[in-house]
Amino acid sequence: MHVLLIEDDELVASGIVAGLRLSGVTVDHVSNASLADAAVGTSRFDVAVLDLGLPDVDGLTLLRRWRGAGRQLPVLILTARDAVQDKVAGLRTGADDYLVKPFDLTELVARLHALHRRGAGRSVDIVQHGRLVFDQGTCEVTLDGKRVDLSRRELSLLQTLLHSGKKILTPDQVKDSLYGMLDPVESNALNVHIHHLRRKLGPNIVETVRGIGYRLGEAGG
Amino acid sequence: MSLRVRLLLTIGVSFALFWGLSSLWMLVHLRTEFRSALDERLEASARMVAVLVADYPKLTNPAPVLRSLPLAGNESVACEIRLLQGAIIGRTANSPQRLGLAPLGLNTLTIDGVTWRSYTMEQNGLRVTTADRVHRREQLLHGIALASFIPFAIALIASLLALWFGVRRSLLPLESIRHALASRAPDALQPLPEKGLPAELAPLVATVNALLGQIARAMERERRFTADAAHELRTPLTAVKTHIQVARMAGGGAHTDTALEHAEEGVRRLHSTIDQLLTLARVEGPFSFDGDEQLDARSALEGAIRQLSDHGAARVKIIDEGGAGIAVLIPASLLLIALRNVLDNAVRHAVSQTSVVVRISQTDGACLFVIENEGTEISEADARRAAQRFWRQGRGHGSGLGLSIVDAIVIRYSGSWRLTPRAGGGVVVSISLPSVSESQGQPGASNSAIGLPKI
Repeated sequence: MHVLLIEDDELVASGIVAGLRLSGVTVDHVSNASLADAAVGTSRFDVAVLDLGLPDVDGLTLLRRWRGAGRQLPVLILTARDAVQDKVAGLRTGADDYLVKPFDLTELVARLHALHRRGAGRSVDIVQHGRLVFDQGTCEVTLDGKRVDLSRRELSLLQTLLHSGKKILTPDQVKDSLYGMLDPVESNALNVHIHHLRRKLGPNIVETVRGIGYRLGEAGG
Repeated sequence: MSLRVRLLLTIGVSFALFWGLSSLWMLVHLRTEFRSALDERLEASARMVAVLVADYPKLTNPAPVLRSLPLAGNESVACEIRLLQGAIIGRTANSPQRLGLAPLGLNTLTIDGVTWRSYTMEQNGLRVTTADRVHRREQLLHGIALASFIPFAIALIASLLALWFGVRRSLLPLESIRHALASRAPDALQPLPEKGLPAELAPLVATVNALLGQIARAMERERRFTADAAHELRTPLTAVKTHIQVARMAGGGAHTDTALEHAEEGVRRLHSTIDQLLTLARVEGPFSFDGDEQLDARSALEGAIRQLSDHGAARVKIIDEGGAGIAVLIPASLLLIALRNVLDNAVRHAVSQTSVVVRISQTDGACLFVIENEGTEISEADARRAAQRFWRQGRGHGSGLGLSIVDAIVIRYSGSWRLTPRAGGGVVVSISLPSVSESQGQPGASNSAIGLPKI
């Protein structure tokens, strides 16, 4: 899951970024609305976490602009404004969820997963794909009931493929979900992660569509 | 008692009372005039009879030829004609027996149970008596009184009805205001409708609306301040909580150390914001600083510089332009806070490696501090907003209250200050404070007592 965090307070943002990364979430942080516009225009994100008190444009104005332009990106508002009218205004403007500061990191992660899976049309954190079961809440993967250890990037890759179903993803789309905008990406890094995933979950888990990209295949031998 | 009832009672009772008294006086006057007119009629009738009878010589003959004159009359009027010797020469049929024995002039007599009003005169050897039944007179009088009273009573009732209707209609705008106030929610502060109000009520409603507007603005300010304060406290609290959770999730190592350092930074910010909020509340509240000592300008400035970080303190340069020895008429603790806040802002927003210059001088008996830094350019609009609570320049890391506190302190002690953009970037802050000159030993521009804010 690739999250865009829009938060002007560096200290708060650094905590959220660190917490989300430790929870297996790929995060990019921007500190104002214009950088957020630039980010969503160049990268693919699954969810945005939006603070309302931004220095250049109010968060609600940014959200209204996105919704007006037809941008469907799920948005979770994360703010210190706790009045009922603020929450109502946020949700009515187009936010999908609203969380008041200070919050619990595990709750934030759970809500982000909920928004992400809703986007994929699922209602539970546990995804079953043939012989493979993936629990997004605990980041636990089992194949034929046996636990398989995956690295953070491998987990993100598997999650992206499961989320996309039978849709073909271009290499850039896959990279966007694995790496933050500023993460250094080596040229063969994606192939390495795909290789490791095939080794751990079966050679057909990632199907290569020549000249286009990748899609989810069968798990196991 | 409602205004409507009070008005109706006052006007209605006065109206009925004055008209009633006036009518009573008219009735009494009418009765007197009426009786007097009837008496004159009796007198005139008697004289006329006397003249007519005198024209009949036979009648004056002592031998009564006629016992009764064919005098026309009705039950109410009687007449008797006698010779002075006593012989009756004529009388009306209803005339009582002893009517002619009545004394001369006007009299009221009762003969055979009937009361008469009579007039007796003697002329040409004749004694003529004319009389009216008093009962009949009273009947006439009652008839006249009744004929006068009925229109008066109808007019009075109609007037009272018109009064009730008029008062009710006139008080309708007042009633609609009362209803509008009674039916609104206790916290509703929208203005009352001013359209179509009578001239007497318009100023009242305008005043009430102005007051409601002031209350609404004050409540909005308070609400915004509370919301801003909550935001300012929650943000560092969020940082602390998040980094502590990250430290726990990281389970040791460099990640944990970094997270704990960030949590400590959050605690420092929280501490600073709470301190600033409490200071602002103390300065703006009814707290007294009477016990505080006073400092001269240089000592205050040096004290404020010592409260800055070592790096910040080293960047401040003091230039004495003749005001360093002046005692400033502000409690030392507040003077130090005000100067420290301005210097802290000046250092924080200054370009690195540049100095913050403070000039101290004396003008018109006041102590003038001029603080200047070289920093990023600031617009006129931002300069005006600088003292606004929780406003920060760009992504400043202060609490947003430092200059609000300066403003509150300066206003409390009748000083003045302003922040203006500096040519070439940065700002110039001028603070003028009431002072006592070292040489004069007397209060300068302001003589307001320490600890007693101007109200």
